[in-house]
Amino acid sequence: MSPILVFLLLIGVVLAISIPIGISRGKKMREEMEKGNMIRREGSFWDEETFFYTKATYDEVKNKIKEVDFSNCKVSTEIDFEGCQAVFFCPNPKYWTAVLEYAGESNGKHLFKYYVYSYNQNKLGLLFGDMNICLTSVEKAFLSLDGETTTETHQLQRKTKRSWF
Amino acid sequence: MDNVTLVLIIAVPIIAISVGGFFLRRLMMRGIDAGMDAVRNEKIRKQEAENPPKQQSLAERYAQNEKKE
Repeated sequence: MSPILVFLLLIGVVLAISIPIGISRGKKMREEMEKGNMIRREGSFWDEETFFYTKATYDEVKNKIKEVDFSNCKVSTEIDFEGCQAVFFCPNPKYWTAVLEYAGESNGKHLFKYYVYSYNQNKLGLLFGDMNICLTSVEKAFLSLDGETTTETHQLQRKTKRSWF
Repeated sequence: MDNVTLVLIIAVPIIAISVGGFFLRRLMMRGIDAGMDAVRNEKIRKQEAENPPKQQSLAERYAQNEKKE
């Protein structure tokens, strides 16, 4: 068998494995969107911090988050993370983590900040669906507590961290 | 010169260059990452200064998203 044929066969095998995986993931994301578990977002929302201006207090938000089912984005939550007024979303620290923290009051409303604290850039293609579902769940939690919640998004200034090995 | 010494003379430099090259490459990639982060973050600072983000109603945003769907 010639080397070129072997090479072409290898490419064929890789495509035969990766294309169905891609199609299946695309279908899953479409289903999640139709169920309303995630919404269309522009740009790289994982590099944004979202500020929520709401009448709901931290305790109300915290209790609401406890009721939300995050199993469809494989996320576990840690409430009052490290004794702070914050909720830590942690599917797998090697892949991505997110935080919802209480940021005080502004113009008579309570201010919360949600952002993806860290993520593995090499696995982003596999992760952004789960990140979208998590953020959508948080947004819906706020909407259920206060229908007049407003949001403001800012781009995050990131620092890339690369391991030595 | 015995065989062991000969193997060491050949193998040790090859291993040293390979390992050194590996770490040098990682160092270079870290430098590239730092440079790209600096450029990106500066771009974000300028964009936010020129076009500060505005508050938007979350309910309206979800209503608009449902219309698009």
